[in-house]
Amino acid sequence: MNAYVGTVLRINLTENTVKCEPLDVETAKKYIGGRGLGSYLLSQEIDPEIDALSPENKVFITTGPLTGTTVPTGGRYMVITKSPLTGTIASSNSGGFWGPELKNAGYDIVVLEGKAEKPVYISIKDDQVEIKDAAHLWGMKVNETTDTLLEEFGDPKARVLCIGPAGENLSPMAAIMNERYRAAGRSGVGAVVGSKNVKAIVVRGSGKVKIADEEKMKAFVKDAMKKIRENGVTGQGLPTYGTAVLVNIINESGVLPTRNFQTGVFADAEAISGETLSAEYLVKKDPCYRCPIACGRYTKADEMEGGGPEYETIWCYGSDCGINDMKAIIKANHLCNEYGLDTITAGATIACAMELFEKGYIKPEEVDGPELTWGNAEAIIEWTKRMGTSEGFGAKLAQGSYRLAESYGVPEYSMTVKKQELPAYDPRGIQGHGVQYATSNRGGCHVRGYLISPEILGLPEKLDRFSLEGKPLWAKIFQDLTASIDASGMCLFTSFALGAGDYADLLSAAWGVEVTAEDVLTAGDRIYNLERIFNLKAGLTKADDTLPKRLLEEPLPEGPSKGWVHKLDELLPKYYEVRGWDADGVPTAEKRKELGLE
Amino acid sequence: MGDHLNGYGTSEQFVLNEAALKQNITVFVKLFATFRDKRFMTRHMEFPVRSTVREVLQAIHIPEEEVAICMVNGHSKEIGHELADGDTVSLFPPVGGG
Ligand code: SF4
Repeated sequence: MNAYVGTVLRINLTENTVKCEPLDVETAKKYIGGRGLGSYLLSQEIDPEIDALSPENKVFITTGPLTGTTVPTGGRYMVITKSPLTGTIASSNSGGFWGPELKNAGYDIVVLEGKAEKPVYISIKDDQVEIKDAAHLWGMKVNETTDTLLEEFGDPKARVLCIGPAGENLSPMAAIMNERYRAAGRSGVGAVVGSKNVKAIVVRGSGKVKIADEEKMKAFVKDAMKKIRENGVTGQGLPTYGTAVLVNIINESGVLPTRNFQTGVFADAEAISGETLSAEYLVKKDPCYRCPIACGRYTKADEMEGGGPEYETIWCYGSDCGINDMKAIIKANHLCNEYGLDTITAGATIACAMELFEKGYIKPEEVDGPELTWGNAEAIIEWTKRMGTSEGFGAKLAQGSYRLAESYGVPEYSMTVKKQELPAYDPRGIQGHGVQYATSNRGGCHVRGYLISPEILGLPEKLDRFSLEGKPLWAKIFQDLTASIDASGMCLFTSFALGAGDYADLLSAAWGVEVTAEDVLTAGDRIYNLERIFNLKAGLTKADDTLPKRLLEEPLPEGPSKGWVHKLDELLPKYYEVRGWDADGVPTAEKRKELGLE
Repeated sequence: MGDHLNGYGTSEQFVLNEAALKQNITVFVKLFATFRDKRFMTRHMEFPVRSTVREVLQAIHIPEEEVAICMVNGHSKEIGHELADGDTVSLFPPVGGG
């Protein structure tokens, strides 16, 4: 077996059984692994129309062929399931060390199916796999769960993946956490695990991943490392400042969403910048498995310390809530990690609530906690806690901004696509990125095709961010390449320095067969279409490929992107065309045939 | 002097315009990330009219090749871009994230 370890671990929680199945390597290669293979298996095994929180839903925790190998950043795993937040396919990615440990234990994939009668956790020590009672863990936050399980397992080198109270409460913003601070964050994957009464998966493996051609791999890894080190972003920018360095760039461009996307300029950006974070709060860097980039941060504010915050978290709890208090942001981030909340959806939901409060939809008498006013630092901390515990008004917030705004009859105040909160870039001033948001298969997301790279950072080439020219094709290519990187087991951040050809080389050495850049992009196209077909079967339509009304109709009021709205109407038909989809956004028979998706 | 000075009309006007041309422009320079080390965060600086971003870089000793993103008034521009009075110049080394 080359690059894959060859076994799927299937855990049926209803029947309390554990089964090992051989991995179908030919199918695995067709979809690479990770996000691709998981999407294929989910599509095969569940009806896309089911309720995401029913026992019929399944969770595929998948590694890629490069996970656990010597390639830089080869430590990723993905969680594929139907999302309770969006109703689409969910595929959330996480780093850390859990993925490689799973492969070292001898498994490419863990499948969770059915529903346990009582809370359980899964213990994996090579071929010893047990479903164990988790009554004593239920209700615990992430750090305590991790400490308890490490002690019970009796090996400090074991890796713990778990949900926090948010996942137990089935909040559609619940994340899956691993090694305390790493998150498969988006689309409510933590709630699906919670709905199965699973609290955690602890894993320890003594094996090693084998690949086809060690010599070739050595050379390609050396080359990739060199490119990563010499690239300004991966060799210098991310290592020094982490992702938070974007605060100032995005604000200078007038596209830093502020007060729930009411404007794109935040006067206090400097106070919440990466420069400030590094100078005043950074304790150390916190890299993932074999990562030379080490964008991860470990910070401290008063008594709270831990991993993060990322740019996205700083933004949603910062400018989006009108907050200029970095300490409060760091605390809110740490609470998200503890309760197992997706920071983007959590922060952006508070921002939406603040606007609903400002506009008089949420009445002061309903709010059983700190006032939801812009800039109220106490509010972001306290409401994060209460979303985590689903307490009082916090239970309403814990449903995410779409369900919150809809309950007041004004869903247009929710800055979401397919009910998932948009991240930290206002697409009115970044036209290509907007078409990517509207067509992302998991709803509002920036890591499905990061057009910020060409449109703002000028990588791999500089594009005019206001121009529509060629953007649909750029979006497609970025989405396809991203899908393949997510399938391979490497971190998307390597793509600042590496291209499709580099990933192809690494896969060829791992598999022992010739792989071209074109193969990599085609596999990505296949994965993208497969996800799309799942979503269409789940009931989504062309009407869901849209942006919040504000971004289409209200021009940005000030700053360098002043006067712009997003021109989705002009971009979307062209995007469908370059994708090989019909006018309703359905992959044509020809396209399916070309990709082997009949 | 007179008519051959196309567009300027009388010689008296010519003198006035020449004086205007000699005036300096003030630009607001903002530095980010490592560019701040041993320099500054923001500063109002004077340059002769018709100066470009290149002159700004020379004045603050930043080698051109170290600049990854150069914005003038929030819009991405080349180093040779000519500056006008009141412009804001934002300079970044290679940075990024997601
Ligand atoms: S770049 Fe950052 S997120 Fe990616 S593997 Fe490295 S430390 Fe982890």
